[in-house]
Amino acid sequence: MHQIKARNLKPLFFLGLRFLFGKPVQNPKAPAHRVRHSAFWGAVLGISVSIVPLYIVLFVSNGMIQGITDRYLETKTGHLQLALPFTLTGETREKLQRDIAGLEGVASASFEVDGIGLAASSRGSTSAQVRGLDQSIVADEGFKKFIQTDGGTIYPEKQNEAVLGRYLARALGVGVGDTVTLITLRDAHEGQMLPRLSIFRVAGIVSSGYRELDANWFIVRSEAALRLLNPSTAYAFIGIKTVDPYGAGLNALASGITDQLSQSGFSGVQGFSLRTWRDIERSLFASFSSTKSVLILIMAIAIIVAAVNLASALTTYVIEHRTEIAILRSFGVSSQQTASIFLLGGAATGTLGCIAGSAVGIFISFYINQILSGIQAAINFVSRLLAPASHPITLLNPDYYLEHIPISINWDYIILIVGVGIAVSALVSLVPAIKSSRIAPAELIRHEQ
Amino acid sequence: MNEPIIECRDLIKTFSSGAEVLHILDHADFSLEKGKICTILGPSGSGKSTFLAILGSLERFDSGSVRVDGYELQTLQEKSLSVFRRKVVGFVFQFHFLLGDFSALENVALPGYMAGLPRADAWKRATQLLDLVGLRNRAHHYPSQLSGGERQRVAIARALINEPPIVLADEPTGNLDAASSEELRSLLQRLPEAAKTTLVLVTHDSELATIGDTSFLLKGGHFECIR
Amino acid sequence: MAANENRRDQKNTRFVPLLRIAFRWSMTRRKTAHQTGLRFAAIGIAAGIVALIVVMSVMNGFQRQYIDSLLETTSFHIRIKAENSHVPALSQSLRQNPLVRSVTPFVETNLLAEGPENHQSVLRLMWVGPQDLASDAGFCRALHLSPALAEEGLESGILLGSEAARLLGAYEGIKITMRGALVSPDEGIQQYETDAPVSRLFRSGYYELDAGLAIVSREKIANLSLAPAPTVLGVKLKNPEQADALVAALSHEEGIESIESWRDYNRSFFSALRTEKIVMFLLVSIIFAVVAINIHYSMRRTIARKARDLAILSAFGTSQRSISTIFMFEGLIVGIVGAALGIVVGIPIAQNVDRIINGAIALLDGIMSLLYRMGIAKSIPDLRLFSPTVFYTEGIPSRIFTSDISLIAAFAVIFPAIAVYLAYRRFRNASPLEVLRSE
Repeated sequence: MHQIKARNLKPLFFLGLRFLFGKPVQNPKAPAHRVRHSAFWGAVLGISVSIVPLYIVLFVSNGMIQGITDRYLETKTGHLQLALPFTLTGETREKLQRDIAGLEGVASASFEVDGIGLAASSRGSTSAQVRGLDQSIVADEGFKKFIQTDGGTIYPEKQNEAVLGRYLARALGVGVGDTVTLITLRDAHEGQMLPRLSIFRVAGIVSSGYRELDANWFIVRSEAALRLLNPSTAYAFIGIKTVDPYGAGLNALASGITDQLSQSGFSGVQGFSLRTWRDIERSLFASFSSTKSVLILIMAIAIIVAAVNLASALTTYVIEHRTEIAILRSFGVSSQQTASIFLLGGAATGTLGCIAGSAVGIFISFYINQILSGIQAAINFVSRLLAPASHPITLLNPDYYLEHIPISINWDYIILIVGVGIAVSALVSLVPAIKSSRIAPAELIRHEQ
Repeated sequence: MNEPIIECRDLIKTFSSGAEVLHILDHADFSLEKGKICTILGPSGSGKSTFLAILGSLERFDSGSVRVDGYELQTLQEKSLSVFRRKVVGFVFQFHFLLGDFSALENVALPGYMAGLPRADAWKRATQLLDLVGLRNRAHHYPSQLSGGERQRVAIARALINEPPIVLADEPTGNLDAASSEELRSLLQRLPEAAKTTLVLVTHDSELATIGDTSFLLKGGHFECIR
Repeated sequence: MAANENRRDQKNTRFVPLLRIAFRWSMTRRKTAHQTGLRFAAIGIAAGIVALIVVMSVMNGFQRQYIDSLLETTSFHIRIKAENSHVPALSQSLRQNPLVRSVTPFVETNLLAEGPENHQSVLRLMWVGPQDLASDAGFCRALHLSPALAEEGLESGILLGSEAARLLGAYEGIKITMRGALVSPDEGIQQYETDAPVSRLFRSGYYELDAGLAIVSREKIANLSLAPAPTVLGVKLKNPEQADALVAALSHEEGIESIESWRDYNRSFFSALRTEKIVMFLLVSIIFAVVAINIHYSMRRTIARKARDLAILSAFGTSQRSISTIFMFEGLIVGIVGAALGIVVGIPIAQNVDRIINGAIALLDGIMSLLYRMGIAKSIPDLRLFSPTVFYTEGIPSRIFTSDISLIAAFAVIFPAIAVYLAYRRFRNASPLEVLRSE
């Protein structure tokens, strides 16, 4: 008959927020008032507390993964790798390099040949990852960005010079200017392998900031590597750097290069193959993303508990305020409106919590490096007071993690988390909301009697 | 002749508590003309409040017909009940039942706001109603800061916000002292004229009962017209 | 004398009424809102405990695997670098030490190994006497070889890690050649080489060992023209925790060039492991913080409602301390119930993580293949959490330590107790008369 479509949400919000949070300004600051509504401030607090670690885990793990990935890309794998047959002559190879470097989207193309060796010094011997790089690496901005030197140069100037990774140098106990011996195996006649002993002068000691990557680097000039390494087991390739390695255009670029190859008369059969960086270090990145998923799953549990907290606060409220809800129904608020009031109230509580938690979480993530050094200093200070002989601890052990975590605040994640948080709060408010809609005004009459 | 605004025929309402079955209303008939004040009296527990609740659609009944301002209550579904409560009746309870988190002004405005009135209009109308009940200077006080009589006056103002044709009041002076009761009585007496509404009053306060144009006694499940 | 005893009695007898009040308040049959709140809180604590137990036990499982393999093989509990002439005497005296489980003398170098078809890899070669290896039962166990097999394998060739064999393209029976160099300031660079057939492959489960370790008989050193490295005594104790003490005791013994305990030897690795564990613990404890917040606010409400009863009690002389004790009980009860529930549920889950995860993945797989067949899903993703293509592990290991559980239970009980205490403090200062008057 007289159907009013009260689509207006504003009254519902007005009621919901006032019910749940009260209005401290004009109400006398009696403890009773504060206590009535503290449950929801408690729910807000609970939700924000649970969201903060999610942000930290997300941004820190993303930052670590990005930092490690960047280092791999810029100092080791390149963006694309074109494997070459060892027998390719220098001239042909150089032409191929130039052709590729000239393609659109390619920033540089450099030659590298990798193999295994044993490096020895008076301290002992240890495994060496021989990397024969060509001169163009010196001009590579990406490479230089992530390589720090502990001394000397980043590229050997002479054929008999080598640049060592920091941990290799440490294991061998050598510094810039010392000599180091390298043993490699090379094919002799009749399939026999002969050891080759070469002596190098240490021209520099470098680090990429991630030990896992550069622990055994033994960098020599590519001509030297070609002489020392075994053709059938060494890996020769052109490392290609592109303008946008993370973009969608990478695969297109890869096919472009494959076309270029066929044009120049090379094909996959003769030992050429092109791989993107994602393929090359597939298992490394998969292990990272596996670990990240597990961490996020665990953080999700805290959020669920906070959401249940909200549900319990709402349910408690509905139970304790039956009478007030019945009053609403008595002057014509429909059951749908009643349910909406609590649904909106719960969602609003969740939103507040999400936003507060996001602000704190983002702040902590942004300053995580400073915060960690602070905590580390504090712990070491206290432990030195209590047990002077104890070793200083490092929270982010440079042997296993990046020392400095690059944090980039990705708004997509923030929007996703806040969105999911609001959705979960609304979901969890559903049951108390429906409960509230079942309250009938008849209760008021019975209440009086 | 004036069409009655409330008309009940053959109304039956029973309560069962354990083995006993109470016939609160037993084939009862009732009718009331527009613009009048009607008082309903009767012994305590005789079901006057229940009858009022039925009129206000807060209680269901077993059989019979109840017509209020053209609405046939026995046929109304959930959604329409809300509309009815919004538009047709304003209820005043014995206990004030104000919402503690809202000021007097907000309490009065709320039903109007929830019914779809724009906020400014609802607040304006509420101010006028508080004026009517003489509480303009207490508009921003919370129920916990008001006296019993003041709270009940706010409740009356609230009942009027949606300009209902009928106001139902259940023992409005039940919890008040003599002075407040007197104030309330004179307010209620002015109501039909000031607010253009019909008033049905349930009470066992004999003083209050005198303001009625018509009076009924509810006894044994039937209405007896006294005046 | 008598007065003192009287007082002591008074304290004791008042305890019982307090307990009764606490029980009455918290265990009423009526389903009040407060009850619901407490029930949720206990469940929340239980959930936190289950999460913590499962996460910690899986971390322990992974970490322990590494640590145990390490401590039984290359790291030992104590590594003593000794002069060759002193080795026999030192070994004998150490073996007689009651703290010592085994002493394994060995020489250790890195060599460039070559397999068939020119595959190369650098191996960490340990030259160990066959009988010494056999008597080091822990080492054999870590390699999943019986001592008899280990001894026989060493006598006839090289014990090689399974992953190293794969890298070299080698298998049992194939000969591999290994070359090394010794650099000294006096004699310059001296090369040496040794070869042997692969007699047995081992698989420890720890990638670094399986891909890098090879063991050959110490007697083969005699065939070399030089001593590739000093001899090290790998000492294992019955209780690894005593390593530091023993190192301190032995450091001045004759013939010992250097001595270090496993803690020193693996310092950075273990500290990284420990940091990971602590960080995980803290992250998961956030759950307790959230539940504690819930309890805190729920308690404040209850205390406010009970303010009247409390004021009456207080007016009749019950001390503040007694009143707070009543609430502490409620908090503790929630903590204890939640902890008990969590432990009872958490431990079986932690012990069967592998089975549960596999079951869940199988379920999801079943759903995905159904969707795939129905044409809804385009492909089936690899859902394995710790996929063998990515992690070098067989299944998900888990180890539960009593110390972990005690710590977790302590957290579970402490958080609610603190939450309740803080809630109570806010009302402590209201005088009874005020409360009664405000009614």
